[in-house]
Amino acid sequence: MREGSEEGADEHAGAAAAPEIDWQTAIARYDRRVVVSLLAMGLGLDQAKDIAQETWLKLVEKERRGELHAVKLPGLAIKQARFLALEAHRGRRSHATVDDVPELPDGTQRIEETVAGRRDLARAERALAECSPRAREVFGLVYGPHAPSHAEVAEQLGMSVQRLRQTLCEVRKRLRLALNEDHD
Amino acid sequence: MTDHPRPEALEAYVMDALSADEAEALETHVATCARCAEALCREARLEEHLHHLGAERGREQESLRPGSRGDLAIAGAVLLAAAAGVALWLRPVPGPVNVAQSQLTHHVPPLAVCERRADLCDDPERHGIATVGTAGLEVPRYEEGPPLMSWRAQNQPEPKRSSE
Ligand SMILES: [Zn+2]
Repeated sequence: MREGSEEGADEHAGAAAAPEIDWQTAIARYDRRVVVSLLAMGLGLDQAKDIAQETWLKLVEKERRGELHAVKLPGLAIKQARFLALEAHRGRRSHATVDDVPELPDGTQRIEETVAGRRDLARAERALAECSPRAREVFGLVYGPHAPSHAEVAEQLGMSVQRLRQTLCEVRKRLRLALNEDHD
Repeated sequence: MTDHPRPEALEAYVMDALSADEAEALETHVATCARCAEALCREARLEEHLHHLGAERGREQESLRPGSRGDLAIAGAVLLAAAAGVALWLRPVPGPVNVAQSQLTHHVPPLAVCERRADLCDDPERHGIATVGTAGLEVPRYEEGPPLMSWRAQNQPEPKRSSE
């Protein structure tokens, strides 16, 4: 496993005052997140990687044309990637008959359900309540709204990246079980 | 075909915790193994699910804090949004829209500059401005601001405009 792979993230986080975007760093840091969001929609790995690459190209082009007045990553990239995935899906659909149309990858619907519903949140809370306070803290930071890197969270909590990831895997295991209750 | 990667490796992949070589080896295998491709998809869904749950949870906790800085952020962001004449197609959402809490409460600064309007645009699900159409989750419709206008799906109805 990679150790402290997000080195330098703080520097770039610190670049919040500068409007210029270090795309190389942004891509290195968030590309996997974008790919994973596409995998979650049901795309294959190759297609997900292609769309992620297209996403970054589009964002870089937009910025160079002065069309990106504000960028917040990884949210903007994920949104662009999902849009491209939906467009690709629509493109296929336009050439297909109704019977040929595959179900839309249900990751998108699932995400919507997650946000709209409270059931999963309640399950997650119950599962988290069984975790240690430190594990809850790790979860809250890693999966919170601010998308810090593991290295940043580890530094903030004064623990090693390896220990943080071990803790994270334990929390994920509990949450995986809790969220899959219906399917068991 | 190489050996199937262990479940821990798939988990590490979605968490971006593998080295470049490890990730590449995993990707090479997954490209030719339907079973592992499916397992990776499940892992990715869990990861996405957790990101959304975590964000939702963070907002709930924040909104429970009376007089929190988030409240000020909401008020400020709403004023800014109104002043900017941001035209958004809002669906009803319970409670206040926690527009820019993260800008005041985050532990780690975002990578780049973020304007208030972009806060709204950046996470449409969070702000309740994503819509669900026949094809599932749709990108939000923004009328104001050149950066994102062109992203509106062409086959969607024209969004409502607010008077400026
Ligand atoms: Zn396999």
